[in-house]
Amino acid sequence: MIPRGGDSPAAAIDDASAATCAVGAPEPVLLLACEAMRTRFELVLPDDGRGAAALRAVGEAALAEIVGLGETLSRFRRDGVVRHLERTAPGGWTRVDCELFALLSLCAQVCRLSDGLFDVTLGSLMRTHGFHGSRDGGPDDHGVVGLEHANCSAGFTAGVTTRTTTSCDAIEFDPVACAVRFPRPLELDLGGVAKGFALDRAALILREHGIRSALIHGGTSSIIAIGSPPNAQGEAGGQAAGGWSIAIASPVGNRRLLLRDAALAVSAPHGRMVDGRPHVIDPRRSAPAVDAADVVAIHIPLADDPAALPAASADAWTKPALLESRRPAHLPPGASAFIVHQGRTSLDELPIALWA
Amino acid sequence: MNRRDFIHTSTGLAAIALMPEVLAAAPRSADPIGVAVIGAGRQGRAIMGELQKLTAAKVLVLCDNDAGRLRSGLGRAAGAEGVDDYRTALERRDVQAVVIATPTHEHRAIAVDAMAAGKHVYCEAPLAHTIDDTRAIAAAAAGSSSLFAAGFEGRSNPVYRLARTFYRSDSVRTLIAVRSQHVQKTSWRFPTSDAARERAVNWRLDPEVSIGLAGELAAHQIDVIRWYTSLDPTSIHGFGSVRLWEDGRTIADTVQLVIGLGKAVQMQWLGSLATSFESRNEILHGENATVKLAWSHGWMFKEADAPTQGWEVYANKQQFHSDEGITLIADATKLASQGKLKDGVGLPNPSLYYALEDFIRAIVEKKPVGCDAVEGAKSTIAGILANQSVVRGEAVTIDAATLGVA
Repeated sequence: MIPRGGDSPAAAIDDASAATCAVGAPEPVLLLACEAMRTRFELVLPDDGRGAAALRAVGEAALAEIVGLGETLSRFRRDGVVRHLERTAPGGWTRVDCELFALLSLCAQVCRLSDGLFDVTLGSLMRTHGFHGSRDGGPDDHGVVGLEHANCSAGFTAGVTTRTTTSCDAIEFDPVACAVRFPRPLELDLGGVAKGFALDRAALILREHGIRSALIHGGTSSIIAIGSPPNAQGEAGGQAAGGWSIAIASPVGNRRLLLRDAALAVSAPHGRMVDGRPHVIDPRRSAPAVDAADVVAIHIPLADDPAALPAASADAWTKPALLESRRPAHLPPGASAFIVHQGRTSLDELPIALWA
Repeated sequence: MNRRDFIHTSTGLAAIALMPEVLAAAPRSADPIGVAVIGAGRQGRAIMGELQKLTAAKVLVLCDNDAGRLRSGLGRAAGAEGVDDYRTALERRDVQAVVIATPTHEHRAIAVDAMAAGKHVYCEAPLAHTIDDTRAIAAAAAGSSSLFAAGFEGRSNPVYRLARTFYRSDSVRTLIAVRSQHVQKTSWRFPTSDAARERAVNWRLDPEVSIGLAGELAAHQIDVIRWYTSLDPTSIHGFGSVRLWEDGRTIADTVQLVIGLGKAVQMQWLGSLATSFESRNEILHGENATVKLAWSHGWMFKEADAPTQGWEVYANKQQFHSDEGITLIADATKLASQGKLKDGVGLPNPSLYYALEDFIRAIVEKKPVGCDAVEGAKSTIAGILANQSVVRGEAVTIDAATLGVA
């Protein structure tokens, strides 16, 4: 699996292991793909006996959700909901669909719990630092370009600036009406959670249609594993059932874990360098980060609650982990972190049994 | 801004001000129009999302007889009641308008009942799967005091409206030919966990009720061309086959149409579920210019010997291989005054939003709908006839009476 242009090379579905677990086994698999958010999403669906046409129909429904969200969450599309909110929410309460409301609520929660290290209202700051470039030098009409997704052709154009337009309270919420309001104009950038959110929505569709085994990823940096591949082998000693084999690339060597019923987000600033500096904004300095971790991975188990957003949450929490180079203090229950910083590896609480 | 920039900008502004403004403010109402959305499939959920943006409308009811779809749809709209029978929605007095987004062959009963109940109706297009049903809907609309809007979105799309002003103001001049396509690589099959509902969910692949790519997709683009040219189809020769999805279906996954528009002009149409290249567009070749429309975007390609209009010098342009297109921007004057003309490429909202906005505006401000029942019926019937041509493998000749409605 080769990351496409614009993707972080931080993680990859391990080809060899995937072949062992999913492709080389007698059960055929269906591989579907789509382009969204300027990256490639792939979905692996092992044959579950319902027939290829019916299986494809489920997969296409999941990918259609991703494509639709890619269009609406892009801050560079005039007809997306992000631009709609920027136009209308400073003027008063603006209704959004309740699923997007849940995402914005999650973003505000992670912002508060991380003391502002994750902040989706950094759009203007990112633009100031040239993070909103696009392949042709103009506005990107088709994809989410965010903190970790922006094209690297644009250079930094400013030094440390004063942070005046970002805050965890920059969005007000009315949960009864699923409405939001911006006390002052701001530029939203959901690029740090959009892929994870799209995967959450897609995984919900898959599970609602009875899929018990699937792997879906966006740009190889946001991943959801449902169940495990057919014929997956359990770990030695029977400590855990098998899972989807995922490789995480890091300066201290590749690590492989078996992912099962969980979301995984991987972030590595070395995959995104601009003028020798990492492509990550540190809100505390209002400037590109220094001394960020080399690689972070956040692992969050899937929940039965259809409203849960584990992949979006994992995406969001990679940012504080990256900037602080340690496990964030307020990770959600059951979440684990893997961090590599200055050549030292912290497995933290990630269950070692997962590591292959 | 230096003097040269000022002169350039102000001159450009004056010139661009000649471009018509086609983006109107959203309708407002002290008491939002109560809306019931019938059908919570993909289109129904998209409709819910766009209606959320309109402060003059409030979704009160969402209806679907599939519990899973209904649950999913309700997750997007705060406070809406979920029902499994559209007649329950029609009984609510606070529901003033109904948006129908069910399978095409179910439109007739809902539309006719809704108008009989005094509700304003927005019906997704095509209006029906048979000519009889289409005419029945049009007849009900004619006999009703309620508004009826057909969901042929092109007529409400600001880019299309802008391009049409150019088309009809001699910028294109003599129409030479029309090319159009709607392609997307997809099986057109939808999932269901209930085997008993397989046929109902995948009605598009059921030859008993499906009008195929020609009826479901081409009808929209036939409507755009009818609206632009005021020419109705006089003949259609369709060709179709299963090129990719050999899964037992009989509905063609690839269709080509040659549609006669009067004696001299023909419209070629390609519909396919086997390729995605260039998605969905309409191209009107003219003596002086060619207009290309792609739903959220539009361009005009001038012939070298065509007269130049002043504003063109300042317009935003895009290169397409060896051709340069003038970008058609719906709110060019406003954006030019803000120095953001390039930001105006594309639309502030999806095309669907403007069709729904037109509908709500028509109710609130008592203005005409974007596409009325008569026009909607004609384009629907043209699509049905196109599908008949594909299925039978023979050309059909169309006279005014065939497209006409009572």
